[in-house]
Amino acid sequence: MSVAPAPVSPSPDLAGLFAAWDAPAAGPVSFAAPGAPPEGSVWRSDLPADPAAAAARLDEQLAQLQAAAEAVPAAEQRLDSAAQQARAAAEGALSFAAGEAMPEPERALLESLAELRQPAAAPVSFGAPGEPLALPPEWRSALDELRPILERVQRSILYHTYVETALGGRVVAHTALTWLGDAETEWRGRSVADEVDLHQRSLKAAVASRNLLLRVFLLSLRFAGSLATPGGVVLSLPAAWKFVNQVLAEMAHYRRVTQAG
Amino acid sequence: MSDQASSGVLYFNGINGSSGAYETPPLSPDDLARAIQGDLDLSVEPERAAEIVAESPDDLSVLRQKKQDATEGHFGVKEGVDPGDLSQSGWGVIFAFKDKDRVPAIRDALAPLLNLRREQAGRLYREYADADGYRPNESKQKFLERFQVGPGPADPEQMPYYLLIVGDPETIPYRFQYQLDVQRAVGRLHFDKLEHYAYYAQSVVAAESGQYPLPRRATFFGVANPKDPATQLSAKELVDPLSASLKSNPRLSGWAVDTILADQARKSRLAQVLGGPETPALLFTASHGMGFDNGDKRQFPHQGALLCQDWPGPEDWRKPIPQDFYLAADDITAEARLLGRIAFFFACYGAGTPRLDDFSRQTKRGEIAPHAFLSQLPMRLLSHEKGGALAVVGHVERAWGVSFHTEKTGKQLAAFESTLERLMKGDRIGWGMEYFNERYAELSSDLTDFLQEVHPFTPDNVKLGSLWTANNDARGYVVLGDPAVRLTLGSGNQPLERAYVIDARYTPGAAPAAASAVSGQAGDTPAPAAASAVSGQAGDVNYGLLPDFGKARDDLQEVIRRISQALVRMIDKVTTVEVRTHLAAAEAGAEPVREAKSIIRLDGDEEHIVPRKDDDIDRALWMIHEGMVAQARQNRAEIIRTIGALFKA
Repeated sequence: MSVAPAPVSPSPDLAGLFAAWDAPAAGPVSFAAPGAPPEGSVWRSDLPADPAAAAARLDEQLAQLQAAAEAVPAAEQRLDSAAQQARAAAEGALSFAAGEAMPEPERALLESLAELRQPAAAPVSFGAPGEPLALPPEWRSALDELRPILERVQRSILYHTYVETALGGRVVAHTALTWLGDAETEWRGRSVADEVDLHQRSLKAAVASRNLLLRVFLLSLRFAGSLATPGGVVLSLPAAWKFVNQVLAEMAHYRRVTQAG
Repeated sequence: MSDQASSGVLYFNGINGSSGAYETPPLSPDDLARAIQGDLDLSVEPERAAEIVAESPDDLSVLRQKKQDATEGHFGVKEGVDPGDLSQSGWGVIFAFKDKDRVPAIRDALAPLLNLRREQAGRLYREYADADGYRPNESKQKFLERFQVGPGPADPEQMPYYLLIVGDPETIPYRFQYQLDVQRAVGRLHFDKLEHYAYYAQSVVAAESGQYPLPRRATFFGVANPKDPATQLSAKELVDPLSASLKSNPRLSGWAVDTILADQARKSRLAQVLGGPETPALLFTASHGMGFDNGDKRQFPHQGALLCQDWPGPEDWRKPIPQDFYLAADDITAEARLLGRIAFFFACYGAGTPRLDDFSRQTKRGEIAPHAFLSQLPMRLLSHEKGGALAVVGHVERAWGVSFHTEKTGKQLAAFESTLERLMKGDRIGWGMEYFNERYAELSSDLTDFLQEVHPFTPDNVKLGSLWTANNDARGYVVLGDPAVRLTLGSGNQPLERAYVIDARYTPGAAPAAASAVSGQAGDTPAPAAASAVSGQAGDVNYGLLPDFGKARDDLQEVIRRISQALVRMIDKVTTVEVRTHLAAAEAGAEPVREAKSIIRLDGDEEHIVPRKDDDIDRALWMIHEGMVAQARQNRAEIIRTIGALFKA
């Protein structure tokens, strides 16, 4: 298999859409402190003091999230095609002539998978009898990438979500959200309509982002399972995660551009 | 405890192996009442009375409800649910949050059992682990509240009826098990070694495979040590009549019931029926359980061991008790054959020991052990490498004669008879133990009523003593092992010609396959290997020796499992939206002020709590709240759409 050089077209990813997630403040987990999030993630909407500017920022965020969610069905087709390419590459049946165009995400994916397969082709050093086996560096790197993904997914999806809206640094409301959207809100603002509206938009963005994260994770998982990689999903998930993020962001960007046009 | 009408003196089960004397000295009713009351102010408030009897007023109300339900013929699982069918009654496992680092390995070792129960319980299978696990010092009530479970008969849709606690009694206290057991069927496992979890899991799976039907035989083993009122009474008023009653029970006509009493009840004989060639499907023993001084080197390995007829009695033996007189965990050899059996030990500490003395509840409770622990004899029986017992019923702390006899009523065997009959009919053990749970509920309610009624009069010490000990005794019966196990019985009652044996194995990080892999044959032939290494996905490689890889795989599986569980839970709760809105407290740490609350159900029912301010509706807060409710509805719709897309995918 040979892979063409990467075309120069920087792909956006979804990182910006998940950027508002923070882990709760570090410290020992305590179940005793009422109201304090013991686990889970905090979605912080740090907005400008001007309500109009704040609303514009949230609108933009919501539009991006919506575009990404709408891009999922189309992205799935591209993932299927990429999985076929990956399996063909694994069997040595895929060859790209120099200069043949290949989108950047696909090229990066095949390269990553090729690296993962390398140790299986060459004998792995298992050390002297009785000594612990050493992981090939490419696999070690994949495992290192897997950990933060799992942590992010666990934190953001599996626990309560705490949504905080601040205007010009002043927190106006704080909501604890369950998985299903049951909500407990502590209101600190001035009860004016625009502050209420902004916090509700923050909630909407947080829920949309959480839903997207879940879909991306499960999509990546399914995609990783369809790639012929030694070590299966465990090793291929990081590459799959990266690929899905890139493809979704690219397609969402395209949708927004074409819709705007 | 036995209350001897002739002398008016109360004797207790339990012999101190360190000294050779009774674990608790014989007491008069007045002495006992004083010990119970200690510095108790009898002018107790209801809450205080509740605390004395149960753990909280809420626990007490559950006990009262249980008593009422039992009176009306309903207890345990809710009406219409078949407790024998796990797909209706549900099955769950509770790990401790504190054990979260160990849980993946324990889950791996228990995988055959968990997989089997998951398959049987379907959508009513639950795992409570990590953040959903038992939290430090949590009461039963608080635990249930976290999952929106209230008092009353167990509704498996909310939480499974059968619950297996996995954790030691320091991490998940006995009191949590006692109270959770009131409305549910609860068992406990805790082993120091991972392989013991694996052996137990493989034994249960093998036993339930149907390959090892047991003859319908039950053995009753009753020690009656010379000049020892406690065991004289248990032999005469418990073991003998109980075995006779079951032997003549027409509903158990196919059963052979053997009775081993008094002089026959020696250690060597017990070894024959507990792992030896005559081991029955069901073994019931009544004897003293060994107790030791706090910190004695034999306390951990031997406390709760069964003292046999070899002990010459309190008058003829006044020195430390040698192991020759009692059967302990280390007497159970690798040759023991226990697969699929159930044992019931009526003995002090037969199941376990708390750190603090349960007896002197009202005074400062003394330490009786460095830490709470499970007795090693039952744990050895459950985790036997050649196939273990399915469950052991035993007693935590001291066992009391009031379990089966009181001065006024004579022998009372209904709870024992009913429970054992269920086990012999092949019912699940947790369901069988409902009779003991009902008894605890009744006694607790009676004791609380008594404590409330006596104020400000002088209490009836005999009655107080009886109720108190009966209450503590009744709550102390626990199941060690999976509460959903049951005997797999053949049609006949003739002893097996060759013992059943399996070759349980454990490879860390490689969950053994379920029932089919744990094959065994009748006879002492080693079975085929239990498990192969977990296969990878494409390009299979055996990664069993790559710990980092194994951990990453476990972490990934854990996340997927938890997402699946979360999705299932969401489906359970999807019909209700709950929204609360309140103003921030003026000062940090203070209670929030003015709260609005709405609960909206899919069937159209709505419930609202409207905040008030200055004798009027707090319109500003209500307006915000209405906005939050509208937003919550939108969010719910969005979440459901996402779930739908996920399922579709």
